[in-house]
Amino acid sequence: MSDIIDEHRLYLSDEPRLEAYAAALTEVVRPGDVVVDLGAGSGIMGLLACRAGAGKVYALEHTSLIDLTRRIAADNGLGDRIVHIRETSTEVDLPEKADVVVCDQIGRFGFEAGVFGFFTDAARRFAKPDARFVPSHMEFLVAPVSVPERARDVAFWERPAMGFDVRAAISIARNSGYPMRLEPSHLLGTPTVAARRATTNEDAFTATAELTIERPGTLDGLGGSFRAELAPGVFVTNSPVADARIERRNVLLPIAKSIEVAEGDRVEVRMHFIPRETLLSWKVRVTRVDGAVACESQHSTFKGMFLSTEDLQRTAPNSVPVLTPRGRARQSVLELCDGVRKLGDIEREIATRHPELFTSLRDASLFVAEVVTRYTQ
Amino acid sequence: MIPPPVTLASCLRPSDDALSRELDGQLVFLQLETEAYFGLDAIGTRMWECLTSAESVAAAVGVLEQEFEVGRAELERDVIELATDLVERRLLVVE
Repeated sequence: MSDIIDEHRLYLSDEPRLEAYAAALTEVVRPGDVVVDLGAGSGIMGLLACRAGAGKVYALEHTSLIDLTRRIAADNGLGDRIVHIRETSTEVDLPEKADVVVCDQIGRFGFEAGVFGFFTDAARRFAKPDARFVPSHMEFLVAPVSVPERARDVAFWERPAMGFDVRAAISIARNSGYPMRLEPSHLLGTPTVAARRATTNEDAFTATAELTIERPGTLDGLGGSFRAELAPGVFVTNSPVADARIERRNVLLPIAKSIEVAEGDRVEVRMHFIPRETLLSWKVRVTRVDGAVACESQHSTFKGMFLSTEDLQRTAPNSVPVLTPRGRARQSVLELCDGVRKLGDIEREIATRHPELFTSLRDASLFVAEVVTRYTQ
Repeated sequence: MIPPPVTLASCLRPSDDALSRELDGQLVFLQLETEAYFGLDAIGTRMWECLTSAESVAAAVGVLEQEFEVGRAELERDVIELATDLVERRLLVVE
């Protein structure tokens, strides 16, 4: 089962998103430009870039979706202007430098899908010094929110499940971001820009905001959204108060304990983003109108990560790694890919060498396919 | 900026930019500014707890001396060495 096709249907039916990208590409693409579309998906960005005048588009898509991407380009008479490459942008070697680099790896809060890492790498390796990046900048918006249905999910772990104590998960639950679609009715204050960053800079950064409670309610956390500047004056956003909001969920960053707030209360927010690690930390302090501090809450997705003692032991500098049986089988496949042997010979050899893992040639073939599609060309 | 050296008289506190989490009796850190991870084993974790709760390194050594069968001089050397490492990694701050 796959929901990939449905995911791309949603992308292609999101008019505010497509119209903004079309406008941006019309703005930044000059006749004959070389454009790189990172994470091409259905290839729509490349098609729009061609319509905007691109001379050549490199559409990079590292999944099997690339064949559909290629076919859609051909069906629209653009097969000769769009070069499809099945590779991630960070591993690709392009024969020429790009004038424009475009992608929609933005995520729900503007950074977690990888845009900063991809663009920083592109700027260093295959973009011209004066290349334009779409989006060029990212703004991070936060708002105080009341979302009782989601707050209940965070607090779920405080109670027994089938009579069993599951409180070990509380810390992870309180230090995780929760995808959800925020509506204006969830907001206790106006979404405010906490930081604006160039998308070609993946360094860690701090963002701050001072929010004012505009209507009384129960503060459950911060609602995060983004506003991406695709070209000068052209934006896409998932802000719950935007007129042309794109179809993308937001994120709830919970606080440890929900608190009643009144009009005029202040919410100080300090966040630290580490795009390279997809890590986000957030501190929230609620101050009453009279200056009294009502609540302080500190969180980080670092504390929400699933870490195991086994992982720690395995990655300790003094540990001695030993290959598992599947690791040895993978090593065998890589050794056998010597530029001479045919795949069928490799499959048979793997089945012979590792009978404890593969009970049939078909099982061995599937394993070999997984390795060679990833590590060979 | 070079941090001041750690001595027995130093008072140490966790850096505001250091996040930590406990995992099976061991501490794992993330330094937000350097983006570096660091782990302490059970003994190091106990030293961290004493260093960050005692009024001075000497006081921390005093507590640890009751728990570990090791000479005072050796313990002082080990604790100062660990504390210096943690200060250099910007996980601890000398007050």
